[in-house]
Amino acid sequence: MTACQQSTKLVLQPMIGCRRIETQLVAEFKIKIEVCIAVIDNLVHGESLHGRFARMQLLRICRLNHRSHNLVLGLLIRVAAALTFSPVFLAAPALAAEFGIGYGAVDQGDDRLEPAASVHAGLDNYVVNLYYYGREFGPIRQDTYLIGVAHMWPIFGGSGLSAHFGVSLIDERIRIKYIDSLYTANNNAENNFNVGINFGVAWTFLPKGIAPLWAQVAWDSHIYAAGLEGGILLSSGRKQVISLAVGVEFK
Amino acid sequence: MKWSRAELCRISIALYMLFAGLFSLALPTPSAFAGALTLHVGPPGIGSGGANPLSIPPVNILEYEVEYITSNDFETCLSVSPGIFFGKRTRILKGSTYVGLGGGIVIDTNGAGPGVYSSIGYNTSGSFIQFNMEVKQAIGIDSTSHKLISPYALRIGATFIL
Repeated sequence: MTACQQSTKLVLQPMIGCRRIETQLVAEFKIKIEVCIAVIDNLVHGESLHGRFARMQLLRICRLNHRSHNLVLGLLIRVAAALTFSPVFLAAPALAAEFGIGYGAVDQGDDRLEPAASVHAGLDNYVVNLYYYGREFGPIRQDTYLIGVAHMWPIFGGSGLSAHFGVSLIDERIRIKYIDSLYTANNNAENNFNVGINFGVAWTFLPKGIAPLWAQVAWDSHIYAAGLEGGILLSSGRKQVISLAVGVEFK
Repeated sequence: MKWSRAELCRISIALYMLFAGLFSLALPTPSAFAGALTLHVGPPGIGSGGANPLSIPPVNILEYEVEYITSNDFETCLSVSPGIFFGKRTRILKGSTYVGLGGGIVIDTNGAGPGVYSSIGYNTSGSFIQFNMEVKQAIGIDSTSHKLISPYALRIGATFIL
């Protein structure tokens, strides 16, 4: 390498480094503009979607920081990001979560109620209800698991009433197990799984003063098509659950 | 005090008329749109166990339902099962989907009596006729045995804008 080439390299290297930093700063600037738009949207519309968008941008910045080898620049970006995002987190609608366990009564289409155990979990506008019920009669044992994952909408203003609609999964296990060797040939096990729809209404009824305690009465229907052909002709089967769950809520 | 079945039926009808009357009085005068009429077809679950019965072709009166919806989203639902109801709709998801809640007379194969219903349905867009799909659950107390009855129905149909 000649002296001229060496001197050119010495001059160009810092310039290339500066350009890299400059390019990164431009990228950060663009992201910050997007973030600012998201912040304004969030403040104006108050929609959680924008909050989520802003959080995604934060993740992008974090990823950029991982790529950056410049510690000082990385720290500066983090401080700037923290300052930029503080109003986002303050303005973003708080996520509400609730968790409860309880008792349910299941009707399998014959107007007879069976006791069931229930677990309820909710996050923001989404609810998950898990019900379990079963019975044992001689050598026959039946276990049924119902899971409803649904979107929830408040109805009738601030009455505590809400409606939900979503997907339902059912797993029904039937086991026939004889101990007597004379009948063991009849031993059998079935596992029936189905996917359907879940809808219902719920009433959260505890007064505000006793938070974080939470209680809810729910009335759910889990509807499954009676086979493919039956489903087309609207023939269906249903599990209805009336449940009372008690737990805690976080806001 | 033990009431006879006939007396309980009369009480149920009187309660329904009372609720319907009170709600009707609360209705403001309809303005731009007089209401809508929905005709539904689909087999109800009538409390007989198993999957709900289906008639092919659908000539069984059990499978039909008529709903009248006012401009204020109050609805009157007439069917053999799950029954006769009066309630209020709440619009969700930009108005195309609704949730109905109300009370009336619940009817299924195990009896009839006063009760409540809830429903969720979807209407397509259209200025005169709209496709409609609705699922409705009801729960009530049989007037004779005083046990719970809980029919449901998954139905499709057409909504005519009046």
